[in-house]
Parts: sequence; C-alpha cells; structure tokens
Amino acid sequence: MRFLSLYRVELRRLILTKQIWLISALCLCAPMLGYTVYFPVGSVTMSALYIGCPVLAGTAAGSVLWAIAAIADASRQFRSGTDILAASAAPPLAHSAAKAAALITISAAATILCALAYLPFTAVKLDYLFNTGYYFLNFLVFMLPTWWISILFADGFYRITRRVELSAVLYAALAYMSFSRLAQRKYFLRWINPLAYAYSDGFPDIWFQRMGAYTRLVWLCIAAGVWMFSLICLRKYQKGLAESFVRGLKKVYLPIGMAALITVGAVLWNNQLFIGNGADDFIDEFILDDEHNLKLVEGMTGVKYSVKVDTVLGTLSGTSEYRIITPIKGESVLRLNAGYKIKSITYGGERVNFRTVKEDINGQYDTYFELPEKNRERLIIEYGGFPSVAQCHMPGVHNSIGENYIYLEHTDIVPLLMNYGLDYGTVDFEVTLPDTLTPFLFFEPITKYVQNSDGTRTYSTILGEHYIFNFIAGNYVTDTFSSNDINFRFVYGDVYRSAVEEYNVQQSICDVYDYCTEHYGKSPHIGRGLFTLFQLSSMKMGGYATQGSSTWFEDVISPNILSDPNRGATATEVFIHEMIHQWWGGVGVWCENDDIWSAEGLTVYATYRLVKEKYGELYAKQYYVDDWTRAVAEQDRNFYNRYPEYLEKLPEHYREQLSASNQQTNHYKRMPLMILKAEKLVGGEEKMDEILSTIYSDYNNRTDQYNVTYKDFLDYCGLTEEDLKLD
Amino acid sequence: MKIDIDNITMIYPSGKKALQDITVNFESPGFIGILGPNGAGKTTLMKLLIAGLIPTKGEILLDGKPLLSQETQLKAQLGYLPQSFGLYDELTVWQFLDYMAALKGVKGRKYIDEALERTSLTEQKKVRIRNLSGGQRQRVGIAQALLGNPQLIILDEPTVGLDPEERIKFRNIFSEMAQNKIVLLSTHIVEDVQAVCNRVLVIYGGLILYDGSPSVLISDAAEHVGTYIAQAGDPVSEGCRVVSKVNVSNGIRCRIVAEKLPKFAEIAEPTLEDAYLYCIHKEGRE
Repeated sequence: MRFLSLYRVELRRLILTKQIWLISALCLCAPMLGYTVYFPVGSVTMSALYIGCPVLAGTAAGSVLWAIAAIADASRQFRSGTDILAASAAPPLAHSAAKAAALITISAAATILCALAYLPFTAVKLDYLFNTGYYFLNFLVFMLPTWWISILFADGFYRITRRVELSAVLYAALAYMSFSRLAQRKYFLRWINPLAYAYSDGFPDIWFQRMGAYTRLVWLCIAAGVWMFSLICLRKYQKGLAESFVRGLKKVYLPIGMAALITVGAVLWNNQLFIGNGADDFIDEFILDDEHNLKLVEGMTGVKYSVKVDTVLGTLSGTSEYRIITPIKGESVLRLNAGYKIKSITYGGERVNFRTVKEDINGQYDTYFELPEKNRERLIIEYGGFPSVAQCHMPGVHNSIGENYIYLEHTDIVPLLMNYGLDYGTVDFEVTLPDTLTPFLFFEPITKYVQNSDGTRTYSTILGEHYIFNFIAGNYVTDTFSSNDINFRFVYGDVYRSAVEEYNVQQSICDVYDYCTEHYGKSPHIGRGLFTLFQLSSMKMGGYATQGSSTWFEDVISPNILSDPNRGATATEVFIHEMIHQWWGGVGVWCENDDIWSAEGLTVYATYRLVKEKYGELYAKQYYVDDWTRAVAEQDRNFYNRYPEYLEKLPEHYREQLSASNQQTNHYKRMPLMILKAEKLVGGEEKMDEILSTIYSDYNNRTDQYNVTYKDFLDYCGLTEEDLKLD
Repeated sequence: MKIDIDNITMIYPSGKKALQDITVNFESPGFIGILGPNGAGKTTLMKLLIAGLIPTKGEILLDGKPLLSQETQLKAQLGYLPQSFGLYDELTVWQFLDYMAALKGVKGRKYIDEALERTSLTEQKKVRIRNLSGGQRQRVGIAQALLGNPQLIILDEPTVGLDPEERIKFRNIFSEMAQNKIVLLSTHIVEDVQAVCNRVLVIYGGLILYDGSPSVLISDAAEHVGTYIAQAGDPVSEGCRVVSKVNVSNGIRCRIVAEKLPKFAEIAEPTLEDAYLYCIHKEGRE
C-alpha cells in the first residue's frame, strides 16, 4: 500500500517535470535515426526499412536518453536538497523503488506514444505489406524492455556510486560492450542494440523477435539484480557505501532477490536455445566424418520420417523409424540439430542406451549408441525441441519455425544416421503443420495430405533419398508459364502477387532463359522440361541455385528496391543474376574460386550483356560498367592496397575486413571489367559469346569433376594475365 | 508520545564528537527550545531524533521501543523542518505540499489547505516555487512540516529568513500546536524560546548544560547580570562576559554576565538570553 501511494505521487511528480517531457519528446524523435543514419538491419525489405531500423534505432537512442533521465532524476533530490525532506517523510527503500517504477511507467507510456506516432507513416509506406500486430510486436519486444533495462542499470549505478559522472561512465562502458567487436559474434551481449538482422515482408517470421524477447528477459533479470544490489547499498544514517551495504544485507529479502534475479538471468543465458555454441566458421562435415573414422555400411531397407511442427512455440517433434537388415557392429552415430533432444531410441521395442556428445559442430550434436547384434529390424528414434541456429550461420538465420514461415534443412528435420551410407531404401516422409502453410520439399510442393480436425494437415510423400536438403512452408502461390520449350514453376509469397504482375517478373525469367540458351547453350539441368524458381524469406540471406531450381531472396522483389530508379542494377537484375547461375556457377559451370576469379565474374558479365540488350547501352553503362569502374578505382585508391606493407600494422579484424571487401570487389566488379576488356581484345561481343559458349559446351561434355580456372578462361580467349590488367 | 534519549554519544567518522553521554526525555505536550551556539550538537540531536543518524552509543526509545525499529511509525507522526533543505522548483506550492503529503501518507486536501492557511501561503498556492522569495520558501518548508497534524514536530531554525512580524506569527502557531504534541525548536533567536517554550535545553560542546524551565534558568542568573558605563578602549574585567554594548551620551553601556559581578557594575534584571549566556559562562565554557 505504501509503495503504491509513493508510486502514484512519484508518477505525478515526473509528469510535472519538464526534463521528463523533453526526454520523452526526444525518444519520440529517436526512431527517425533509423531512417537516416543508423541501419542495423541487414535486409532491405520494407519491414526492415520502416519497422526494423526505426524501432532498433529508437531502442538504442532511447535507452541512452532514459539512462540520462534516470541518473538526472536520481541525483536531483540530492542536488536540490529535497532528499532531507523526503527521507524524513517516506521510507527510503520504498521511495527508491517507487521512483524507479514511476520512471519505468513513463518510459512505457513513451513507447506506446512512439508506436502510435509512427503507425500512420509506416502503414502508408508498407501499404499492403503492413501487419499491425507485427508492427506493435517490435516495439513491445525490443523498445519497451530495453528502455526498462537501461533505466534499471542507470538508476542502480547512481544509487551505488552516488556520483553522476561515475554512474555515467559505468553505463557508457556497459553500452559500449553492447556495440563492441566482442558482441558482433556473442549476440547475447547486445543488450542495448538487440540483433534483428532480417525482416521479411512476405513471410513475417518472429525468430529475431523471439530471441529479442529472450535476451531482453535475460538482461532484465541482470539489470533488476544490479538494481536490487543498489538498494542494498542505499545510503542511510549518513553512512558510506561499505557500511550501508553491510546494513542493507540485513534486509535479507534484498540479497536473496538480487541473487535470485542474477541466477535466473545466468541460467537463462546459459540455456538459451537460439544459437548453437559452436565455432564462428563453418567446419567441413566430410573432414569431420573422416576424423570420426566412421564406416559407411549398407543395411537399410526403408525409413519412415514423421514430423510434427508447432508453429506457435517454434518447435518440432519427430519420430524416425528405420528398417535395418544388418545392424553395424560397434557404435552407431546419429547427427541432429543441437537444439533438439533425443527422447528415446528403441530397437525391436527395447530401449537402447545412448550418449550425446554436446560438442556443437555447425549447429549439430552427435549421439552415439550401440545396437545389439541380434537383428530386431525396427530402430525408432524419437526427438524434438526448438531448432537452434548454428553460430556459423549467424547473423542471417538459417532455420526457423514460425507461424508464417518454416525453413529447415538437413538435421533440423530428421536425424542423420552417419553409418548407413546413402541407400536407405524407400523413404516415407510425413509432416503435420497448420493448414495455412503450403509445404515444399526440395522446392517441390507436397500435394498429398489429410486434413486434421485441429486445423492442421498431415502431408506425406516418398523421397528419392534420405538426405533432406530443405523443407520450406509458407503462404506461397505458384505460377506456371512457358518460354519456348521450357515450363517454369514460379513460387513466391502471396503478398507479392501484385508486384510480380506490376514488374513483369515472369517476362524477366523468360528473357534470361532465352538469352542464355541462345548465347551459351541449353542448360542440361533446365533441359529436363521444368524449372522451379523459388522465393525464400529474407530471413534466409542470399539466393542460390540447385539442380532444376533457383532460389531468390525476398528483398529482390521488395517494393523498396523495385521502385527505386537509382538501383537499376540491383532490382530485377539481381533476380536475373540468380537465374543466370543456372549457366554460370550454381548448377551451371563450376569455376575455381580464388581471390580474383569465380563464377560471379561471368554471371555479372552475362547479366550486364542481357541488361544491355534489354534496356540499352546507356543503361548498362550507367548501372554496370560505370559502377564497376568506380568500385575498382576506389579499391585501387585505398591506402593499404597501394602500400600493403602497412597492412601488418592494422589490427587483425581490419585486415580481415579489407580482405573480404577486396574479394567482393574483385569477384563482382573487377572480374566483369576484365572480361569486358577481354571482350574488346578478342574482337567484340559476338566473339566473346562464342568463347563462353565453347567453355560451357566443353564443360558440360566433361565427365570428371572439374572447375574452370582463370587460366582456362585466358587460354580460351588466347590472352595472358598481363593483357587483362586494368589501368 | 514519549521519547527517551538514554546516554547517547555521537561520534562522526571524522572523529568529531558531536554529542556526549546525553540523557533526556520528551513527553507530549511539550514545547522545548534548544539553545546552543553553532557546532554545539543541536542539529545532530535532531537528526538522531528523526532516525537520520545512528548514535555511536546509547539508545533512543519511542514510546518505550527502540526508535530504529519504529521508523515507519515515527515518520507517520513526524513534521520536520531541517536547517537547510531544497524544494522542487518546477512545482507549484500546492503541488509540492501535495507531493510531501503523499510521501507522508497524509490523505485529504484539507490538510494541505490548512497548512497553506497557517503559513499564509494560500494566495501563493499556484505560484511555482522557483518564483518565491527566500521567506516564502521557508514558509513552504514550515507548511510541509505541519502537514497532517504530526505528533512530533522538529524545527531547526524555522524562523530564519522571516520578517519580525512573521516570526511572531509563527512562534504563536508553534505554541498553539504544542498544546497536545511535542515540539522541538532549535534556534539562535533566544527571544523566540523565551516567548513560547515551556522547557529549555542548553547544549554546548555535545553536553546538555541545562534542562528545565526558562524561568528557572532566568532565576539562576539573578544577581549575575549587570551593567556599567565604560569608555572606549577600557578592558573587560576578568571573569566577565559582555552580553551587549550600547553607545550612550556618557560612554558605552556594557551589559555583562559573571559569576561574581565587579563592584562598579549595577545589578540588572536577567533575560533568557543573559541566562543562556551565563549558563555557558558559568560552566566555564567561554
């Protein structure tokens, strides 16, 4: 009761305080930084630009502002001398708690105002892509708790130190940690700038929001713990920090509360399910398998995978039933997503003991078990949990289960039995998920299903192999159309239906097919008669090509990109680029990958040629050749590229950044410019088309695994490295 | 209400001994004036009484229970005006009193209106504190101390900054309030104490030199206060302390206190101020 009355009075006082109004007004303006200077989201979808960036910018800037407010308000009563009157009237502990609670309430009101203030603008900008619930969720998950955390830390630091400058320094150090290099890979350290690397328009996925809410909870516990500690240190009877602390400990509920909060925070942190604790870089699985000295044994006659997906909780549960003729001797190994737990392994109805080695490798754990030699035929593995994302795949999320989108690969779906070779016999696959989602396996729709009474469907299909490359489900539509002798299956998010029509995407697809077939020859993969083009959520960064299908990332068709005249080369042309990988790179001609040479150079060059043919020379020069020239000149102007001897003096991460940037420029800008030079030296476009056609044909006629090298290219052109050096 | 101070000593971390073996009790009704020079220990005693300090030794009991265990009860019954204090400048007088009332857990606008009326601030109730004069700010401080009809009122130099008329008014208000409460008034203005207090504490160097009624203190000083005419440059007689000097036509009329008055001095009727100074002088403190 006392607390409530103190809370009410402090709330009323804060409402009458000008500084609080100023801070609130600045917080209302803070999201504008996300439109102008601070872009923490990697994707360029409309949601990223008009929800993600402003919310995250407002979160970070607002946090600092509320910290200033908290320190200023906590110190104010001491500066003004009202502390003496207040201390004689109210119990200091309850009063301190009421003051913090009042400031937290004001910040909550500011969050609501902030969300309402930007609502009309965001709704207009996003138009048909706008989702009210998703919009408010971002404010609720990121902005609100982060501002609270900030207030608790700042208020706590002041009460501990009773010095404005010291508490400001402590807060600044904590905020710096959140932006530091360490936090670039240790995402849980990002308390003030939560990670939300991608936002999808078509398939609003809440993976980052889930992780954001979880990390906010962790940090709220820690901040509340620090704040509780500050209550223990609350000065009374004109005592110093040490004596006040000892006296504060006598209120046993304070140290117990503090310890409980920090312990809960630490336990939550330690047991987080979102990101695996493996290495930052991908580890080659084949090498790994070799290290494990695993024997590949044949002995399987069939498998049945049954998987059930809970899109609300983001979890998966599954049962894999293997029919084994000959169990191998010694230990069997199965590999599964590190977020899953094996519930049971039974063989012929009897439980089998197993041990899981919790060494995260590419987001997977290995489980070892030994089957009795006696043939009992049926091996059943039950498993499930929340699929974690491998550290090496962050910050772009690789797999996720959401209400609007599911993307799972390999061991995110089914266990991989490492000892049983590749032939699993007949592989039945069955998946249960909400009937609002359309499922695809290997980019092929699963059409056979049974409608369940709980609003789910159980889809079933027979697989050609046991290794599930990917399973995708979302609110997809499929267009089919033809160009000459090929049928296209174009799969994309339902919300993009109007954009696909408006920007004539189908025509671009046909253009690529016609151009590449005419200039380089028919793709042996596409030639099978059906080619699938599949849109992935922006949560899965980048696009890639597989046999008979090509994926493209969501941003390519974002209204933001498609309507921007300055991005001529990166709008539908990126889409064209990905499709050209059916000829060069991807499932087309494999090229040796080194610092300069890769399939990207040929793909970018082919994109340029197609665009030139389609939109004219001027357009192609402006958005391609001039862009390459500018980028290469900039690279050559770089001090460290001109004087590499100084590179050694740079810290390692700068060297790595420069190296990555140089390779990007070499592949996407320098190499196309060199091919353009080669085109002039060999006698023009027609001649270059002939050379590329020959390379393509020769490559497809080879029976061995071969990657085309830069030397091969030069030999085909009859040129030397010296000839293609750029001035 | 009853407060028992039992043999308390207060030594600050700096080593300064502010109070030494003080034993005293207060019971309502009572209007106690605390006299003593700067640094005598008056403010320390008051801070101990509001549980703003913990004594190094000894104990304070509130209605027979240790004060520190009765903090909540104490604050619910306490009206305190410190010697120096601050106010929230952006609030109006009424808003500030409302804030303090809420902190104290005092409910009802009538208490605020009553305090405003008693302190003659009704007309200024909507004025922001930043626009008040020094005297008006002091009145706001007094008003907050009077909120909620507290049973224990501790006033540390409450009439500083007030004009003489206001001073008289306030000491009368304090006197009225002391009818059924304990009012502790610490002041340098002995006249205020003489006018209203029924009990006086004289503190000096952390010790209580006198605890009793003002009249006894005055009567103790009878025949120890005198006057004489001196010329400029005349030395003060040994063992005398000059209370005041007034220029008159034939020299300077000096008023002195002494254990034994010099023969040339004419015995005068003592005032409380004389008696206070004599008390300190007698104990050989000055």
